[in-house]
Amino acid sequence: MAEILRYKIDGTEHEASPGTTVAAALLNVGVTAFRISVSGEPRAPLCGMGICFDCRVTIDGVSNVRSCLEPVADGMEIETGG
Amino acid sequence: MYDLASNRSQTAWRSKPVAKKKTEILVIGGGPAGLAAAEAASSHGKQVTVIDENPAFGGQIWRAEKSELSEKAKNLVEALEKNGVEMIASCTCVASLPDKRILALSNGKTFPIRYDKVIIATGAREQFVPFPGWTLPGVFGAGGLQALVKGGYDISGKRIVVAGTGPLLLAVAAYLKKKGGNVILIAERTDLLSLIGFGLSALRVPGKWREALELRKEIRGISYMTSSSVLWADGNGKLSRVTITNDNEESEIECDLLAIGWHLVPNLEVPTLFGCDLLACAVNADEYMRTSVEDVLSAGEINFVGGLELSLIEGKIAGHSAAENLEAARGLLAKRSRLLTFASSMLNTFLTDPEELRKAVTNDTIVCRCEDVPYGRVKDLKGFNEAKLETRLGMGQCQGRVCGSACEVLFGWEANSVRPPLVPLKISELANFETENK
Ligand SMILES: Cc1cc2nc3c(=O)[nH]c(=O)nc-3n(C[C@H](O)[C@H](O)[C@H](O)COP(=O)(O)OP(=O)(O)OC[C@H]3O[C@@H](n4cnc5c(N)ncnc54)[C@H](O)[C@@H]3O)c2cc1C
Ligand code: FES
Repeated sequence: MAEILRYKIDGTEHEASPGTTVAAALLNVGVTAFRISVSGEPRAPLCGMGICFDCRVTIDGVSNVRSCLEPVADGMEIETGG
Repeated sequence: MYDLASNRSQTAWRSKPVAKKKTEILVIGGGPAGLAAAEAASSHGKQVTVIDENPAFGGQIWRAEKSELSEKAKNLVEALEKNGVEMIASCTCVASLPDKRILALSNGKTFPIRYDKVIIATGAREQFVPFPGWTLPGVFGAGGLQALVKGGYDISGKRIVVAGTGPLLLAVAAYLKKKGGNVILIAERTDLLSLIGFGLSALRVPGKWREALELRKEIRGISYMTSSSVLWADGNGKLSRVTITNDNEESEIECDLLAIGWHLVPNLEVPTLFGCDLLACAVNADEYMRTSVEDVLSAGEINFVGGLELSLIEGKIAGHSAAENLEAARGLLAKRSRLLTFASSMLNTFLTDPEELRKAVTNDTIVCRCEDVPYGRVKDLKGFNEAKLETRLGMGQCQGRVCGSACEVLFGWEANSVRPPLVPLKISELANFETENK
């Protein structure tokens, strides 16, 4: 397994160690607006375990993926703010 | 097309993505209860399959840290695999289909699994109670923050306030401190006298006092306030301070993260799909863990939120019972009933008056986070259904998983937003679901 995974958040390259969830990786980079709510507020993870859907992002073109349930993979492209 | 899985290297903590399409005993949920159930059922020679929505087995308490399964989960999972139990991680039960089948979603693909008996062990989640500012990034559930740190969130140096109620707060605070978090305060809502009373009753349970002493050692140095709770959270685009009330005295505390934990509530989506009878917001199962629906059993925290030991014993009973070996199950009933008694006494200690919980809410406080519905728009409505129709509360992606139990606390409403599929599916997956459903 690669020691360091390289992935992109909104086009910018970042690194994470294997086993990191996408939610944790985004928090580590300082992302606060995982998604924008219907009234325009930034939202970030609340439950950490697949319940609240507030951590959802687009991964490799797939929208509405709960980032707390998804491990980072090499080459992954993540889009926030949806 | 949803092809997350094929796009990337499979990490070691992901198991085989595709399941056998048929099994004798299907276990939904691979936490302590589900794993114990699988062990007991397979000990009678049954063919068993366990699925879990998480990328790793272990449930809440044995949640994997980064890729590493916790020691206990690892031993159990390895033993199960050796016994031929099929273990499928990252696999969610999204619907119950006719002819004893479920629809499973794994790596973006849906497929049915047929079973003779199913054991539901989907555990519990945190109860969330709205308060001003709880939608700010930086506000987490207490267990939620712990889960994110286990997923690799680096909290070193972050100033953290832990608030809410119950023994989980201490466990979470100790964990966050160990991981380098600067835990500045634990604000416990319950008063000191009740806590002492609970402490004394816990001393009568073997092993509990040692657990308590260890925890005390680990959280030494962290301020601990009783009779106190968070009034509001504040910040510009993210959390920067909280206001705490302690016996009517308010104080403002600067912090980066707030971890707030109330009670746990059973994850009833799956048993609801199966049509199981519910009682007092939990599955109504008999002592052999049989639900009201034939061949559907349930075990662990979906039956009663009572901690690890109770979940394990219920899992075992369910496993024996599903394998039609009631004799083996019977030997465990007395222990289960003792654990149930202790768990109930704990629940009573930390029971919070809903009136108290409602105090902080204002008209602008968002109740439904998916649809941004504020308290003021729903408070005068008659029930969950009316709120759904009038305001879209509970109609978002989480299907009322968060606002449902919040409305139960705030208004005494019974939530009913569960609908198959439990997770939004793509059109292509949905087509699959619909042909399966015919
Ligand atoms: C956030 C949190 C933190 C906790 N921390 C502690 C602690 O520190 N100490 C302690 O003693 N107890 C703790 N508990 C209590 C703990 O949950 C129990 O003691 C024990 O883990 C319950 O076991 P279980 O098997 O019933 O449920 P869980 O451990 O919750 O396991 C349920 C499993 O079902 C899976 N699942 C849910 N829905 C589906 C679906 N639709 N399809 C497939 N799989 C699904 C979940 O992914 C999960 O792995 C915590 C509980 C929570 C919610
Ligand atoms: S943080 Fe709640 S679903 Fe991911």
